[in-house]
Amino acid sequence: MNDEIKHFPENVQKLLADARIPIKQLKPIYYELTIGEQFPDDSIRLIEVNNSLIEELEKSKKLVIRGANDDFAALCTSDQIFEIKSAETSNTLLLASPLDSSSVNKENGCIALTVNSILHAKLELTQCVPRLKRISQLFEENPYRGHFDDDNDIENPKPKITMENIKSEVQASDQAIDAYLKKLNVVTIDGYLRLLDFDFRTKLIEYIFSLLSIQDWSKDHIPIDRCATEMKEICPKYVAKQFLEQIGTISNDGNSISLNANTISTHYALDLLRNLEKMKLSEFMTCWRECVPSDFPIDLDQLKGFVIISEGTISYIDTDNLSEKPYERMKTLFSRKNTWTLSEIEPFLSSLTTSNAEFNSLLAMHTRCIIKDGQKYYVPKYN
Amino acid sequence: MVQILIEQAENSTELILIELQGALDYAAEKQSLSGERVGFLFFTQNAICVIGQHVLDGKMVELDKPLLVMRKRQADGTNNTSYQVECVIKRKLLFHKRSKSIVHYSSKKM
Repeated sequence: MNDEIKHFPENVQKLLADARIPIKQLKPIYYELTIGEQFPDDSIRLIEVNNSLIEELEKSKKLVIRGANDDFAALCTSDQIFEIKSAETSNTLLLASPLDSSSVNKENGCIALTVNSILHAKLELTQCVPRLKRISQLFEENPYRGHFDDDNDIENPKPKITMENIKSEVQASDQAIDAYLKKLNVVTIDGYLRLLDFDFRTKLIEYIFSLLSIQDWSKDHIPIDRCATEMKEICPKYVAKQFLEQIGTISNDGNSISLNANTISTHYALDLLRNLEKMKLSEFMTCWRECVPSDFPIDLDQLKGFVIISEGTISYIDTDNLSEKPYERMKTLFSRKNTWTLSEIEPFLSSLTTSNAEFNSLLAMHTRCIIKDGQKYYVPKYN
Repeated sequence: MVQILIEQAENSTELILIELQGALDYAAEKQSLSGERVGFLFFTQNAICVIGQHVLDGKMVELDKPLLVMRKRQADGTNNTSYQVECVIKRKLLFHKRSKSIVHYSSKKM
């Protein structure tokens, strides 16, 4: 027998010969797999991730799975969300761990590997869209209306909502949650999160405008602290401050804000439309121009995703309350308007999809494309 | 209504992932398999795995997407359920072909 292979113990040599493995080509180190003491270790899971998740894990040292009991499991990072699904495989996955290096038997080159888990499935992640609808539902019950707040009604206590509640109930990344809370105009009051009631916001905005003319402040340069102090008649200063920061862009020194023209114009438009079934478009444009101060531009483009314009009328649609199920949402949209252009329907569907390809397949699944006068329109696929 | 944390374990361990085609069968009468030998791994340019009477040819392949090995920690009185990431696996030993059987002829020589 060849001298080179002398280092393999006899039983291994016999095995190699039986298996007709060409010994000469073998590297001198070999491994022996043994079932470990903890076998079967059922607490081990394999999860397939992408490199950005590994970076996130290394940076923040944690990832988080969120959802209510009847939800699917969703893995959330600071800016993304993934649905977790288990994928079975007919193959066998062994997880082997090398014992410490002292286990290398120098003499015969054997390294012991211990197998503690044998798996037939791994978890896979698919990027999905944040499910934010629950947030607005949580707040609807008890919006904040300023000084006459009845939150301290002892006989009929209202649910208190904290950031922690939201994070454990809402399947979305922290960034998506923060952005959405800002969009809804949620503020912190006595340590709890509260939604500012729509009509109360109208009151606040009106008040800010009256202050602008009294104090002769520019809408692009409102001193946050002084303005909030002046607003104490209708709400505590710290609430006014949070609201100002939400409807404007804070200056570099942090002392003043510039009112966000889009936010203001949109608010007035919704104020006109939200309690009406629909309004004649021409009539609406006149009214809208009348309520918004003249130095704020108005443009129908600002209302994308808030209104449906059809046959010369305009009506309000609450995107936040649309179903998160694509079929249901399509049904609602088409019941409001029968033919849509791409740019009209896009704002109502974008929150259901994570990519352009997904958006196109959603359209292809639920709509039919027709061409009328050289313009593409989308109509429902089935009636 | 839960948040389950996935945290980096304090001490990461080194683990090797071995993927075999098919399933492993073993004599069912054994109470515990601890200490039983599964088989041997040999390396040439590629890898050879010998399990029982089977010889498998395979190789080390890089994974398209890395795998995290997580250990589930059940909720107890003070802690919620959580996962600890013990290891990040970026490649695996893949034995994806059908196995060859060992034919015993050595006994004839005796």
